[in-house]
Amino acid sequence: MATSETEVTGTDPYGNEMYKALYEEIMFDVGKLASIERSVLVLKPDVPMFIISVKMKAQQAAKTIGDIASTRAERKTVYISIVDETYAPGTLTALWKRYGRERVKQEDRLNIEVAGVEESAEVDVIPVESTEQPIREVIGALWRVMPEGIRNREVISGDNVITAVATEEIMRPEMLKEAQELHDRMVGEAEHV
Amino acid sequence: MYEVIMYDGGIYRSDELFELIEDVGGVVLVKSRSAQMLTVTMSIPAEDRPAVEALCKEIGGQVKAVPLAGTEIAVVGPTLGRHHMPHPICDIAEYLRRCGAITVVMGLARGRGKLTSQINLEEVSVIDEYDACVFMLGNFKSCVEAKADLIRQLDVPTVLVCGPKPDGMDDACSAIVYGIGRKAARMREPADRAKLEEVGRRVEDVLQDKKEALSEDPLFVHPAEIKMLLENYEPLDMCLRPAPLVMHLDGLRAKIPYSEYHEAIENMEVYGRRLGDVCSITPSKINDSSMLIRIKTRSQVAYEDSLRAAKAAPAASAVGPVAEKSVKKKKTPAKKKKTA
Repeated sequence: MATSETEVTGTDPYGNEMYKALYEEIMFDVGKLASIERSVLVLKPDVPMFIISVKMKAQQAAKTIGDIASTRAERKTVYISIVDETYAPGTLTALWKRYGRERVKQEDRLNIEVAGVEESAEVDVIPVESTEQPIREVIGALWRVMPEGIRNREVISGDNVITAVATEEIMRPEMLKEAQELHDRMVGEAEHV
Repeated sequence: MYEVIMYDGGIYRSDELFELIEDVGGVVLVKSRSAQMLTVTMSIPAEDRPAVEALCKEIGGQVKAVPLAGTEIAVVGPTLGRHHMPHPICDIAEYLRRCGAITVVMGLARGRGKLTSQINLEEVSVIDEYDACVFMLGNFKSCVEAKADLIRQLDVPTVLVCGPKPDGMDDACSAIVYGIGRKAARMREPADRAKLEEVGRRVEDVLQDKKEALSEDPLFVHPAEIKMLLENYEPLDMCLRPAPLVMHLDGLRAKIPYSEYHEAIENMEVYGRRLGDVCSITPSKINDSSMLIRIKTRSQVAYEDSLRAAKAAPAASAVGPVAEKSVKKKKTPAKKKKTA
């Protein structure tokens, strides 16, 4: 399953092993494991404090209609057939926003017609999600990995690296410092490569 | 002692099976027919099991063991959040159902966190209504050990299921199964199935202890007999909730409102006694839409009878010899019924 490298350090050997499997399984479930280059998990249940740092393989690009659907133009109408169903609601919203409801006709869940458009390329470039969406999905997956009771959370992101630190009660400066150090190390590795 | 087994076979000559169950003093707990196929879950005396098994085989059916039949078990997780559900809590609940138990999955309101987890009195009293409890904790040893206090407050036999082997928790629960921690996938692998079987065996063991304790001071009447009595009671017969009558080792859960129906149920007769005299009927702690019927033991009923007799005696002697005679006359049939 895993195509990325996952390193786990912590005080509980059993927990380390199980959380590595859990992390990879959840990332696989949300479809992000393939786009992760390296992950470091620091698990300290005795404190309790958990840090997960994720280095992505490349800058996450926003999906456009051309990426998730096949399109063809015929007699001033563009016919869109959605291939990736997860983007169906976003596609419809994006089309409504661009052309208005009166020109967009949804035949069924995955087939949409847009009247008054000459070329399909015009529709292909319309984004269906923001560039931040993939990062939000990774952060959401990290919250799923961390124990439920660890509610006090901070995220450091930038340069293709996302680092999340969480604790149960007070987020102490030394916890944030440790997370920042790990984040910087991951960013440094990325730059070095 | 009674044993619960399940017949799985055809309808052919099944009347002979029902006659035999009646002859040996057994009770049919569940009977379900689908076309020509029949499934019968029955409670029979342990010494008559070979005879029943032989007849089942003769009429072309199979006998399956359902060790947890007639029990209701709570499978409890720290919360109902996606961190704890559905795996492996639902897998455990499903496995226990396959063993014949009725299972209920519950989550605590504030069970999450190592330092902040807690269980309140209401949750404790709801869990204590069940025959046994399977309590599921996570992957970190220190967290599991820190949550021992959640389990210590429970009175029902509790099987702790967690990832690492915890230390110092033997007194907190009846049994521990370790090697099942938090998971994000179904327990389909052979190793996972073996762990589920281990959970099933541990639950069976703790319930066996409870059954043996009950057999030392038997219940006044077997829960299955009260089930048969209540099955024909119209509000229960018309109840649309799944399993309106759930058997426990020491009673039943009837899923009809306590406030409306408890008097009618208390006034029903079993072996010539008021049901209210031989059972304690209370509203469920979950809500008012169901009630718990706990059957008193024979010694408890005899003790309460003696208390009643002692109360009645001075009153009768104070009234005078003529009145005393009439009181005695009235009491005689009740005594006869009890002997019967």
